[in-house]
Amino acid sequence: MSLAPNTWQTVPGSRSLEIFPIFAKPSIVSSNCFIVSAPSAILVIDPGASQEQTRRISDVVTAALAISNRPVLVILTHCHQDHSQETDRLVLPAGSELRRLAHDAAARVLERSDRALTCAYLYPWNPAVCNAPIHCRLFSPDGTCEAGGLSLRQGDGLEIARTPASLLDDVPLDQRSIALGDGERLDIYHTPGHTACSISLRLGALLMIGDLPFAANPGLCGLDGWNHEDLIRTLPGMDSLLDRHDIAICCPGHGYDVSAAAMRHGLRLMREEARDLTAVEGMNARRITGLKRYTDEFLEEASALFTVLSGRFYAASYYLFDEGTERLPVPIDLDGIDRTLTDFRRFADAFNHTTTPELTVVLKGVQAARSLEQALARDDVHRLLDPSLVGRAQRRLTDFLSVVRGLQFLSVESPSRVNSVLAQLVARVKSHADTDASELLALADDRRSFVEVLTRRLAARSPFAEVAVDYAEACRQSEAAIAPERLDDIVTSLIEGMAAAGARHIRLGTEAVNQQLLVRLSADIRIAGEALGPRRLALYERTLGWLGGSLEREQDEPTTILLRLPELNQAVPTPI
Amino acid sequence: MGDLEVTIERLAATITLRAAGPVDGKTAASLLEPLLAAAAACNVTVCVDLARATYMSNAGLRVLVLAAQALRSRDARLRLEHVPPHIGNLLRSAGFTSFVDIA
Repeated sequence: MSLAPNTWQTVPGSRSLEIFPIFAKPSIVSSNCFIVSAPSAILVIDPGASQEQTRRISDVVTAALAISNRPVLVILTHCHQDHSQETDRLVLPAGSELRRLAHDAAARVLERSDRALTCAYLYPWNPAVCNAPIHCRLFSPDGTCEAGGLSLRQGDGLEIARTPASLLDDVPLDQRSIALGDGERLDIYHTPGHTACSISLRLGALLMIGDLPFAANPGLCGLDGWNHEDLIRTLPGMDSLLDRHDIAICCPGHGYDVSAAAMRHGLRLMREEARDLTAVEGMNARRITGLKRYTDEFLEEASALFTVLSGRFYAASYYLFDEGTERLPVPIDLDGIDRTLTDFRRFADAFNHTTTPELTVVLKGVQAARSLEQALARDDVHRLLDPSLVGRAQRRLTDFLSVVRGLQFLSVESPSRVNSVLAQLVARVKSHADTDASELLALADDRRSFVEVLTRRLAARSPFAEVAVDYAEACRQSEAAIAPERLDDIVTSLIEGMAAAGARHIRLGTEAVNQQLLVRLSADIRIAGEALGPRRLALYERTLGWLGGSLEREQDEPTTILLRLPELNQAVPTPI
Repeated sequence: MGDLEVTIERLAATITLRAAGPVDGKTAASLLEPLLAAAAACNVTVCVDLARATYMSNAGLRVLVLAAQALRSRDARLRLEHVPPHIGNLLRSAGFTSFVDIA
């Protein structure tokens, strides 16, 4: 069962309620809107922030009023700009009676045009916050709105029933109810977390939950008004609510409706995720600008890693097969990865020519990172592809999602014994000769397994086997506050970048200066900055900077790069 | 970012395909068809001029492998010219230089 967009239909679980859903293209620019026709009122839930959507809402409501004139109740699930901007812009027939309802906290935020709590600051076109009066302030501490009901013209009114959370053992959420005629009822629940003013609305077997399902998403958790404790308290209540009222369909503020079972599953996963979000960095304009730059760098790094990963697989196919005769055992959705990265790149490039909010690009990065994580999650990926490249790709995806979430993951990294890490790295770079044929011979009668092993060997073979890499260890004490994998990833990427740019001899050395450990990489040629990937270098520099280290290009003839590794026991700065 | 523009020039025994724009999942097919057609022609050298290629994704690499395989069937190799450094690095890192010539 699902809702059809842009048409009237019966609300599941009701006799005389009809709904007209308007599903906006998912974005942080404008939300969905749901118009409900009830015997005693028309409800407009979240008008959104698109003028085109407002025209459509106005037309639909005007047509509904022509059939039966009733009060129009505009209800906000929360105060964010993408839901509330158009609250006072509906164009209705003369004499129409319109009342606006929102949580008391939302009313106060809108009244003072608070650009932080409405998130209006996210939008480069500087939109005005709608500060039209909210006629009914739900859940206000003094309860005045509920006590007097929703007053209408000519002494009429809609009664608002009040059910404190403590009276509902099985649904521990504060509740209000408005009678809509013919025995129908709108139940309103206070469901804070995404914002303090978030509410969820139940009509029959339909539940509208605003942006609660996105509250733990990287890029959205930590927004002004977000609260971890509230979220942790709300989620079990939502679970009970879904069960108690036999909910069939859930409508989020963005994207299509989903079944109650899917929403229950999603919210339970979210509870797991939300548990770890205890020390999340708050979002603000400066942090979002930093995240946008980090997203650009991440895109460059992810594109390079995944393109090389796929490219080595294609290179193996050149040697293993004739044109069109047979296909390689593909352990990974290469076309899907290409689609993800192509879409992400085109979206990020389009940012420079449009007025897209910076956060939109960051959220697109999150979406891409999650897709790429799924692509690498298959069991046979590690079996058939270069484990070093796969590991690097996985770690960059994890880093990106953690940083966007605002987690302080860097402070818990275990320190490296640098000499040991670099010695192992050089040994790995030099040991390309996987010459033991016994594994292949044992599989000679099993063509599929034989091809798989051969593919893995070819795909994992570094094309830089002929490049000489020397390591000179100059200091005995070599502990630094950087995880071994992170140090290995950065140095390996730099060596590969130098080799790909034409270096044939790379010297790697460590030294200690004023108790700080330095790693020096020297190529035998001059390498243009463009060849090493300026954004990739910026990413490594940024990561080392977060840990208290740095990366600099020491000299150009020949090219030398210097990594200043973070000292042990120094304070870790906050990433972005 | 936009579309990929592919122009084809035949000069004596060389067919050169000039790719301008991104060679990615949305555009690689527009290079594949003329490249395979060129690879099927007899007694010609096939070149891809990447001077104006802005980006190459794995879909672009796949097109090059398919062309290289087609050329191998007549003992020829694909030649890439004016390869921008960032694309050259990808090709070398992926191991393409063992079966594709980069001028």
